[in-house]
Amino acid sequence: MVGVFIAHLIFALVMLGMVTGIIAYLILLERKTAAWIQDRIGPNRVGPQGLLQPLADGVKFILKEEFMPIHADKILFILAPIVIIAPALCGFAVIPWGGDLAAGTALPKFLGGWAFPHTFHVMVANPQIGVLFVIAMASLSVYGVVLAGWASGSKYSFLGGLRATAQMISYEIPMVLSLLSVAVVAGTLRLGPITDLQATYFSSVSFLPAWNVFTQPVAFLLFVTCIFAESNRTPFDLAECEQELVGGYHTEYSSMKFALFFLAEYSAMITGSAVAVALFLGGWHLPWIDQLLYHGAQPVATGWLGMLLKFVVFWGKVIAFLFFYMWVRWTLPRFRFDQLMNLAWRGMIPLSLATFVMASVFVYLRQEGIIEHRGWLLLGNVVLIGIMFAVTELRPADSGNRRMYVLNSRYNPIPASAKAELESAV
Amino acid sequence: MTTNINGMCPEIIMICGALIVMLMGLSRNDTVRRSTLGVAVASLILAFIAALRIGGIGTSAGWTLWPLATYDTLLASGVGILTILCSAGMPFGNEPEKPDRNYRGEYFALMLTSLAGVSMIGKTTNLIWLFLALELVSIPTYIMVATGRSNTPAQEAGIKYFFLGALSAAIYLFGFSYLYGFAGSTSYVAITAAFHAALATGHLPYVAIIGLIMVVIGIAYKIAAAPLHYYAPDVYQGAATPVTAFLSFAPKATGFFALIMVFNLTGWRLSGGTARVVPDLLIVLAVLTMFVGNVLALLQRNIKRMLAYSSISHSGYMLVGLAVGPFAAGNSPASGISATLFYLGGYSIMTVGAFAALTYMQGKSDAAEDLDDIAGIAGEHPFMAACMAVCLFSLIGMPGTIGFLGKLFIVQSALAGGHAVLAVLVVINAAIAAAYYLRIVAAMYIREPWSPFAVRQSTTLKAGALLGAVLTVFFGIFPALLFHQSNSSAAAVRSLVLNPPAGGIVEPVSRRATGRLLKSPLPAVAPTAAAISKP
Amino acid sequence: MDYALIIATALGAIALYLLLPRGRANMVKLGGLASVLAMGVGITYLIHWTAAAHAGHTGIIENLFFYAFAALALVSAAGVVCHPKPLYAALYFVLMTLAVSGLFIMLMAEFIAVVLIIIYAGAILVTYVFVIMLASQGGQTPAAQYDTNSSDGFMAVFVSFVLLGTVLQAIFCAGPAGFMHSLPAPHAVAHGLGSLEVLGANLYSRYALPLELAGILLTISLVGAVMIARKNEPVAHVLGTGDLPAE
Repeated sequence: MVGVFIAHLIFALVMLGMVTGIIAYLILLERKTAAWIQDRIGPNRVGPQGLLQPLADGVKFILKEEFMPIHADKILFILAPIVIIAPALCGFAVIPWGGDLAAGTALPKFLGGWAFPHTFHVMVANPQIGVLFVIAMASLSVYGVVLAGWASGSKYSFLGGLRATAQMISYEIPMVLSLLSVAVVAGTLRLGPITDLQATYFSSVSFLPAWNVFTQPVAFLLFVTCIFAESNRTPFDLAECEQELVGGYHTEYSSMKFALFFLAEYSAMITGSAVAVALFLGGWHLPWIDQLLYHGAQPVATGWLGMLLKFVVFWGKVIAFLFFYMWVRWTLPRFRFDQLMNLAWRGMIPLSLATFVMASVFVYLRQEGIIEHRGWLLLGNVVLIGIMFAVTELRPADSGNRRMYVLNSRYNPIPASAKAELESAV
Repeated sequence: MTTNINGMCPEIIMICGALIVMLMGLSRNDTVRRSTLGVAVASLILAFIAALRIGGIGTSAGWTLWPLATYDTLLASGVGILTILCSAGMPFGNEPEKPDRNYRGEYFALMLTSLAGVSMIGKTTNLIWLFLALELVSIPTYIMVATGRSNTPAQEAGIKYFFLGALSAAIYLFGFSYLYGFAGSTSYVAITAAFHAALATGHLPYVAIIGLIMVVIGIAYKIAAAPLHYYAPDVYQGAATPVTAFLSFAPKATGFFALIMVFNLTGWRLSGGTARVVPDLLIVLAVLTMFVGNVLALLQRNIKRMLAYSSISHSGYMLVGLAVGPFAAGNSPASGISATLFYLGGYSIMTVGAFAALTYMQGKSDAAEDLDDIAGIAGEHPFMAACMAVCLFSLIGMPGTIGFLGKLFIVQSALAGGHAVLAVLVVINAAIAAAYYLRIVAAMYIREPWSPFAVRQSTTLKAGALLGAVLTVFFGIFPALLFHQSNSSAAAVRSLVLNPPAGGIVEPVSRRATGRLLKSPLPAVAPTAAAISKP
Repeated sequence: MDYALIIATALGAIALYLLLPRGRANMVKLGGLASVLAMGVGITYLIHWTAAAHAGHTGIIENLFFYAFAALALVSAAGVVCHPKPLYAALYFVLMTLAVSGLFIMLMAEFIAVVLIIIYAGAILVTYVFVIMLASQGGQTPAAQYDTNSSDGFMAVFVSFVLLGTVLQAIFCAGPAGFMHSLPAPHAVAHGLGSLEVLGANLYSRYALPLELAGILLTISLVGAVMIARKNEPVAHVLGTGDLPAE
């Protein structure tokens, strides 16, 4: 029992170090990606190919002057970066990084040869509320943003904080619903079993792995959109859009405190990607090649080698997903705030509710023994999208999503006819 | 276990009606929105019929479909029709020609859900359900008070009612949690068993007593009993008059049914030892409520405030019946519960009738609330004045009306139960009350009009007031229908208390679902991949 | 009568009364001292009580997390009431939610614990904080008079601690042995100790009707909230998505 506890502890520390290290290189990757997309070279001065750039950045952050605005609320100003980084790092605890180690797997001889008495889940903790834990941590991450925005005592920070809060609260709802529609089909909230269920193939289309992204594509799209919004990145980065708000809620922060905001953003990205990989993209499942290695679907519980393979596959998927994040960031323009809210409340929340209901109906029918194949879910998703388009046509025209006139603007001036009316109203 | 979902049929009809009405209220077509009142009334009539039809199913043993529940549902849907007739054209102060400025549909939907809550109280089988039903009654009323008309007093009343109501909900929920801690279950059957066991030893744990006291205090707010009455006049005055009519009925009926349900758990046998404080508390509440309501009503000139205090005092009368309990004088029908239930029915009809007439008299502005505003109205609108007068006479307790019989039963039961002092106090209070009701009648019939009347011309309102007045007299002369219901409910309470249901928990559960869920619970570890997708 | 409990309650009342914001005449230090004393007496009492109930076994080590979370919950609850700045009060509420969910986790009720965090900390209190932010903009703004002075502090403290004292006496009056004896066997323990599957099966079978009722209640509340929030007067749309004619 103590051995298992120590194994979990060691794994937690390893993951913590690994994630923070990876974050440093993610920033480099982000800059390289940006450069690649914009046809530049990117950072290439520090070390070979700029590979030591993260180190230089870290040193720079530490050596910079700590500055606190005079109007800031001192306690909350210091608290905010801590509050934002803590839940972001907690989310890793329930991610199934590498399937299970089979019972009896022993450490190498030189480490004492201790063997695991039971199946060891290669994750920091395996509570029965796994998915809900992820959601809870995501919902706590709002506080850092709010506090940073409020405590800085600057209007840019304040506006950024307000926007971020409204956005994160709104997008949490479809995120939760899309996660739950996956959980309800799997019949458990533990992330490990949800991943394990995906490590197989459809029976009729045997080359297609039975990942949730193929069974519930609508939920996947919703979830991806929501984690983009939750981590405040383009096209949802209204909270920190440079043209309007300087830096948003972290405008007034400098030095290592600012670095913590960066760290939190990237660790939120990693958590989001890891959850997406575990719940939708098959987790550690290596498609097709596992047919060659195992002559069938990859087994859940393996020895050291199998575990390492899973670990590498999982991280490979996560990195690929992170690249997708960056790709989107440097490709898409930003939303306007009312469009952002409309998208969440009038588009995504109803759609995610419909997805959830559909998944529940599938579960009911499966329990009744009427249908069994998970392909029916895919069919349901297709039907759902069809219905969505049909209903959208019937909906009354949306008056909000159009050009907005701005007082004294050169590009969007208020029409002369309306100006007089407006002035009388003001 | 015999129960099933059929017992909930009336409530389901009401809630379906509410949803339909809510959707209809979104229509851009004015006629569709106007017809929401009709749909609401129709669903209540359907619920009434359903309650009559299923009334006899489980009368013998079950908790859920016994006469008390049927009486509750009949009262909720019957008086509900009156209150809806009373609220023709609600909410006030809107512009019917602008679809998005008018939310007629939502208003009736709120009313229907609230009524569904009222009618559910008698069927509840555990404390969680009881709590949710109480909240289902309350939350729509908060919204109705705040949005019933668009002026500042209504908003103030809404805020006041909401905050104090939330506080009272917290108090009785706290009480429920102690009852749960005492019995280890929220199910009525288990709690009844726990009370029986504890009372048999002669010592009720303090936790149970504290829980009961908290429940009584929290629900006393709902029925506006005396130390917790102070919100009532302000809220009644601030809300639009139809909403006031609803407030004088729905929370009160809920409160009394809930109190009866909670005391059923104790077996009404709290007279020994420390447990005595609970029945004593009821007596103190009853006396205080009667006197506070009647004496303060004497000081009012505003009719709505006056009726608010009047409704407080009527709560006092009903509390007397509750304090007497179900065992008065052996087998005689004059048990306190029977009297309370009869009074509740009568009171609801006459007070809603009076408010319907008042709504008519107040006119479009909804501002005429003072005695002077309706002075001499009998000359111009004799029909409405007569309806109002009939209801007021009944509230006084004049012979020939339902109010008289109600007070008579209360006094009888108090005498039979050995509470002679309470009986005398009820009679004294009835005399005090006559003074202020007669002031309204006198103002209508004797005084000269001050200014021209701008009444709210509405056939629906007229129908509501007329129905109220006619029923008041009808039940006053032929009380058998109402009395039969209230008395069989009280008899059922008595037999339930004497032979508490033992054994399993009777709860409306789809047996098929339960079997499947509990017989084959989901595996603790997720099923293997092969079990879910075909290999 | 349990004098230790009475002393703890009285000390707690004094502490809270002293800690309540009272403009310039604050007595925070004295209040802090009293609260430390009150918690000390309370914890000592609980340890003794546990020892008496379990034949001399004090269980300090096993219950260390309980004491930590309970103390945190108490301190942050006092912070909610006493802090003169509304935003801090809301944050103390968040802290209290976290502490209480820690207590739930110790009772193996993981679902309740996480749901508490998601609903209270993640939804309700975020909204509070949002509203407070909108109401009092940014940084070191001077606090309003109604925030720095508690109204009717004495009555509130008196009533709440009389209630607390009564409840504590009622719970503990039977003595350790009697209390352990009188505890009913919790039904949840019988089948599967807070397991998510059992919870779900119960919720959707035995408590299906109350669950549906809660759904209706929430729907109605939502509709009501929209009704109340919607303005009746036509709003002049200055720069919004308003009535301006298209170009």
